[in-house]
Amino acid sequence: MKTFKYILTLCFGVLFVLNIWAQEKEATMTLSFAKVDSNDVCNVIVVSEGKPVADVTVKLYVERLFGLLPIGKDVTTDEMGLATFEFPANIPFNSDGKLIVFAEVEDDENYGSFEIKSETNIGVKEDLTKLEKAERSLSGSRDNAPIYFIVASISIITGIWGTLLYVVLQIFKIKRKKTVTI
Amino acid sequence: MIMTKNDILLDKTTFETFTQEEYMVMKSDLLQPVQKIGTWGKVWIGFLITICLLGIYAYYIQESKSKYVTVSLRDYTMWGVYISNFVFFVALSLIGVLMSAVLKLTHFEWYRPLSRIAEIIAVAAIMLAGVSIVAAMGRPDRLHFLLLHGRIQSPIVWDIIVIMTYLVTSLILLFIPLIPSLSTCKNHLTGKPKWQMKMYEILSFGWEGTAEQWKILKKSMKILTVLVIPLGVSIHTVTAWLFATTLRAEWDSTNFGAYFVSGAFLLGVAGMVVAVFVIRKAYNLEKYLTEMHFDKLGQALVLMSFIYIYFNINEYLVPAYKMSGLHANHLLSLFTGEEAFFYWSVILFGMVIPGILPLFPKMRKPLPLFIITIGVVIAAWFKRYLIVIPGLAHPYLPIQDVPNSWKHYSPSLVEMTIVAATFAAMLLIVTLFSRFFPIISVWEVAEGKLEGKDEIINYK
Repeated sequence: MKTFKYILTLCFGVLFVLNIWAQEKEATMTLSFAKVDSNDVCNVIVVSEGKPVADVTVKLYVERLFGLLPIGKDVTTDEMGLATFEFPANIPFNSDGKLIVFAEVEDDENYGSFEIKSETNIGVKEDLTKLEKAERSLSGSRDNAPIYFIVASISIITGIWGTLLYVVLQIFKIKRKKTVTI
Repeated sequence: MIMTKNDILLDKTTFETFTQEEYMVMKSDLLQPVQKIGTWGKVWIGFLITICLLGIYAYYIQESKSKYVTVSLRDYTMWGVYISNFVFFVALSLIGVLMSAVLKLTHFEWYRPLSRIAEIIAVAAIMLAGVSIVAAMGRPDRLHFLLLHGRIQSPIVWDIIVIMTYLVTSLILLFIPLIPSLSTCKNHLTGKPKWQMKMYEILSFGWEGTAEQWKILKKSMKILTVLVIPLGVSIHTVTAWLFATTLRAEWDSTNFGAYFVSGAFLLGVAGMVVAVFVIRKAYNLEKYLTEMHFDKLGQALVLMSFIYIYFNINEYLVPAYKMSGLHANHLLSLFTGEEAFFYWSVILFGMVIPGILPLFPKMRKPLPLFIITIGVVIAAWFKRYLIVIPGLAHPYLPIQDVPNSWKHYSPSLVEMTIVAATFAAMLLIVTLFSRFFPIISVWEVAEGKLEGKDEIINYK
């Protein structure tokens, strides 16, 4: 009976050690941008306990208004822990002139999920005017309303509000006409 | 030209055909709701205020928590009960055009005791239409952006412009005929608080009933009465264009403006019957709001029902004959699908019954007509619901890969509380108005008694 107790304790001990060993290890990422042959690249380096981590699949995204836009295909880190993405230069940046970039490792068997967020100045200012019709039309922008439409609108609004103003002035005239009483 | 006292006295033929005593009886009858508020009156006001407060609390919850949690509006049905409620109130606001302006200009003398009731309902309805729009907005704090950044070509901008214009016009049209009544209140009400008497004093604009003052008053009223008709038609037509210019098969109609306006006139007559019945009972005004009024309103109800049925045939039967792919989904859901119960109830209670039953004189008596028109008002609300929601739920591109809850819409408790509060607020505005101002215009009724012979410039 005593022997069983020792065996059982030993088994639990071994399981405990295995469990600790099997725990997901902590890993972190750094994200940097560089120019290679006049092209922009984004370098993601994955390290764990100070050592580079190979064979981890990294995804890269850019934050947009309603979600994340994937950049290129997923890249697996090399022995240096490095995943390199070609970063397109034509992504419209935000109103502050910056792009918010996310790198993400999702459900890695050893390191689990983790991500990093960074900012870059790479990108272009979106020229929204190209979306607008150049000529004046009903479907045009605020500044491209048809002239006849503006004239008609202003005439109608002025005519009606002018009449209302006239009537309001008439009400004040009532007050002035109280001199003759019956 | 200012008439002197002698001029007026010489021109005796223009004066009364009924006595000062009769006028005094009329005045005391019509001022009686303002003079005294009974216990039930106070309970009613308290009840309405409670519902309004609940609505304000619901709106606070909606705005302080995520709208995703508090309302059922999603990508497809992005306009829910708020917008159908908005369309209902805009439609109801046309009551002022029909019951006051049109009857006045066409010399239907029976409009006289009805005009102020119609105008205050119009003012209250258009205010609450605005409130419904703000409740529906994702970012109400950006309302002013519509004017700062809006496109003049957009029906939404026009809707805001026309609502504001119609509200101001209706307010002035309500106020101008009220001036002599305010003077009456000032001179005849007793035991009222000082501030209330002061209010009558200020708002009566020094009214003394001089010939010149009457001339100005009549002229101003005439201008506004003419102006309010195209404005009223515009307001509902522009509302219809909000739908007709949006890409949904159901709304793809050149008929929409006229269809909306005809529906609004039917609702206007029905709303008028309900209001007249309740005011008549609550304030014992049977002498002024007579069975003749119900008889006339009943006849108007039949006419408006048939006009509306005509437009409904155009809207539904013509596309149903073709049953093209785009319309089929939507029409079948109305005719035989999940909305069929609502749809056929609306047709029955909102058009067929008010079109047929009041053809019989017995059905144009106050109580039967009241019951018929209650049905019309409820059906009218659901009619707007059926225009807005199933239309949105059947877009041009098929709905795919979305959560099931996005495909169907049923209003949340928060939405329904706010809608209930808008109704309570409308009734509260009308009730409070009738407690501070004569709900029937004393002088307009008195003028009617003169059988159109002339003005009542010697009565104050």
